[in-house]
Amino acid sequence: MASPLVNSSPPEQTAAKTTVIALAGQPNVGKSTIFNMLTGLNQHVGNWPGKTVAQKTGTCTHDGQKFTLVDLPGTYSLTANSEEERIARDYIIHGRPDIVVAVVDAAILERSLYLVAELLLLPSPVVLALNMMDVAEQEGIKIEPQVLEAALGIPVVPLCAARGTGIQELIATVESLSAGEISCQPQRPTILPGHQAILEKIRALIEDSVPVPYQPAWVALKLLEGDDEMCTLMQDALPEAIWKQVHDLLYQHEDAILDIAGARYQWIGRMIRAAVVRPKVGQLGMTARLDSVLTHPVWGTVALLAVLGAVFWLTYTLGTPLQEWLGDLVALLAESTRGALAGMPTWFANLCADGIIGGAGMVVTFLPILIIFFAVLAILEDTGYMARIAYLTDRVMHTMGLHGKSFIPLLLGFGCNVPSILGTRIIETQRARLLTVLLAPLVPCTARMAVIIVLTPLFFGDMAGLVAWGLVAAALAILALLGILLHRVILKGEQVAFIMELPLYHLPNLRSIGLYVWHNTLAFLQKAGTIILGVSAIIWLLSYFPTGVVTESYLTLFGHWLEPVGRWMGLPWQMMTALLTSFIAKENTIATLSILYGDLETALPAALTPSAALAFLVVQLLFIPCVATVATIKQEVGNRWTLVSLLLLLGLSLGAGVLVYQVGTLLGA
Amino acid sequence: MLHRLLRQIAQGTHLQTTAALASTLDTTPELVSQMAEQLARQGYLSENMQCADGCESCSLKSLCGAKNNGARLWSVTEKGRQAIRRESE
Repeated sequence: MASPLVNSSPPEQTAAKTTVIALAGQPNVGKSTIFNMLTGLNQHVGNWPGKTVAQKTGTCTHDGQKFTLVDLPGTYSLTANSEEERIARDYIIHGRPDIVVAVVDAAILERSLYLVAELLLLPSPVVLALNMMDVAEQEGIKIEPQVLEAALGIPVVPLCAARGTGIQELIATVESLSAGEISCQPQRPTILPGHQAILEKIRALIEDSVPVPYQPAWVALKLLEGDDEMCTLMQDALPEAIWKQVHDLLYQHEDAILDIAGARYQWIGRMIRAAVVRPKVGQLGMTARLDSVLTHPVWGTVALLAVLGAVFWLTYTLGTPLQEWLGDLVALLAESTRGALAGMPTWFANLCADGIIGGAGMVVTFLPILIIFFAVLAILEDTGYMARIAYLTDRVMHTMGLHGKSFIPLLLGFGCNVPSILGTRIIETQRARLLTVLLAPLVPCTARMAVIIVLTPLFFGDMAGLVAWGLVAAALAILALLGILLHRVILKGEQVAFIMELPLYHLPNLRSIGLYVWHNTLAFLQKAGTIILGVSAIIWLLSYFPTGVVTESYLTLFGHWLEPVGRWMGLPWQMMTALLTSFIAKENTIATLSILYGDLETALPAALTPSAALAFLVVQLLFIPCVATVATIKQEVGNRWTLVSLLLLLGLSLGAGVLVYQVGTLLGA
Repeated sequence: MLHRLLRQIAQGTHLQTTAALASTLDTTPELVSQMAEQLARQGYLSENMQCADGCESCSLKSLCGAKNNGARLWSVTEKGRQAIRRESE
């Protein structure tokens, strides 16, 4: 046991008839419930002197003995990090309550015990109120109060304050302790040997100058912990030469906090091992069992690929029939609009029917597919599996040499490339940051995925799930290969030091899934109603004027310039134009194709060979990102590197497209 | 305990989970998270808050510890690396 850091002489209030009890604890552990149960209407609410924090005091009587209760502000420790912590510790040191009741949440005992470890170093005797025993029991956590009492060396009272049980036992224990009928011999955490000698040295230096009522040993400990308030106190109290010695010692041992707090955690660990029996079955057990497979390097990867496959299969199986039905509806609506606008100029009726309804409307028909896709993603997210994907992805990428702080921004890219580029700010070295910015647009964002999800079944029918799955896997493989190249050659394997707290698996919450789907659908519809609608109208106008014949239009003229590049990939000019309009927003590809081809379901498969279709999807997946991402890249790394990024992506996407088409054609596809 | 945890995190060559670290350090994942928070408060680790606004529509929101009860990520800071170097000297 550590040497006591407190003055064990009875406090002044003991002489008075009223016993003063301070209720200490973290926020939300039921401290106020205990206070209210004990004091009833006999309470007073004011402010702590000179502070804005509320002070609650009250009185109660038990067996003729009067008690004054002081409800201290909720705190996690006593390190003067916040006003609440300063108030709590100042009250215990200066107010010297007869007893401190440390209220802890039995269901999260580890979290509550750090404060107890600090309370035991202060002068007042401590009683542990083990609240929320019912919650702990519901969660399968079994705590043995007698064992905990023996381990801590202080009285422990189990209670469920919300139900009113254990309150009388608590006050009776406080009464017995204040009357000296039971003893209190706390087993305090010790400081690790590494800093014991230095603690003694500081104590010796400050001993004669520590202001009353502080205890030199406690002040020395707090100085070594780096407590700002104690540093100021002792700097004022000590002669300058002595303070300089103390300050030099503190500077030399600035990492002492690791030993001091580390010893407290060791102490908590011992208490928990002694008195708490963890659940063997249930949620925790299920999470551990599932993680043994789902985060396993081999089985986890197999499961991840299977889950991604299932996501695509489900999306297409359920969504495609709905999309076809909506497509017919949009075609009907377009014809009705054309009929209704018969009296208007032809170009205007056609713009509304083919440009707006045919373009932006066709994009909206894919909503069922996207809603299902978003819902499946939301389920993966809400069950806790998405976090495992992140963990697993890091492992897989690590085996390929791609790791480091690049991991987080790259991961964010799956949502949207813009926060991904912004996220590279966490990378310290400029070189590593630049490389990550170059890699980030290769991560398929939600918008790119939406285009892939929509176009793949048009080209590949029943094989769409497999093709989409293969495309995503290929994009990630290209990203990893480029990563290996860049990191090995330029970064030479920067070290990663990350830890991740994985959430427990749980059943998905319908409301969360609904909200997720709603937000994504709304964002998609907003885009369809603004950017996509605008671009659709412009594309249609360019495809109509000057003569009203598509083959003689401005768009055809422009599209023919791109034809030589498209020819290497078997892509007609319409496909190349669609690709270019994706620069404004990825979804524009669908709208443009719809304007240029009309009925996508029959026209598209006829316009392209399977090799050309696959080449188009590959180019679409690897092409330069949308204008918002490019603007973000420019903002983060400047013009020169933006140009490098665009050229790299352009070369990579077109190169991969040509390769896929040429190899596919050689194979006869 | 905190020194050991810091060293263990820094030695990692890939992403480690609190559960795996708890097993290595013979403690509970809850206590590892708590110690990571303490190390972050003292500046030896930094908690990576990835998300700002618009988490509702992000497919990775469970990775953002600040906004909900999801996964949390910590990384070793320069101060943390210096502390490890000092300890091994």
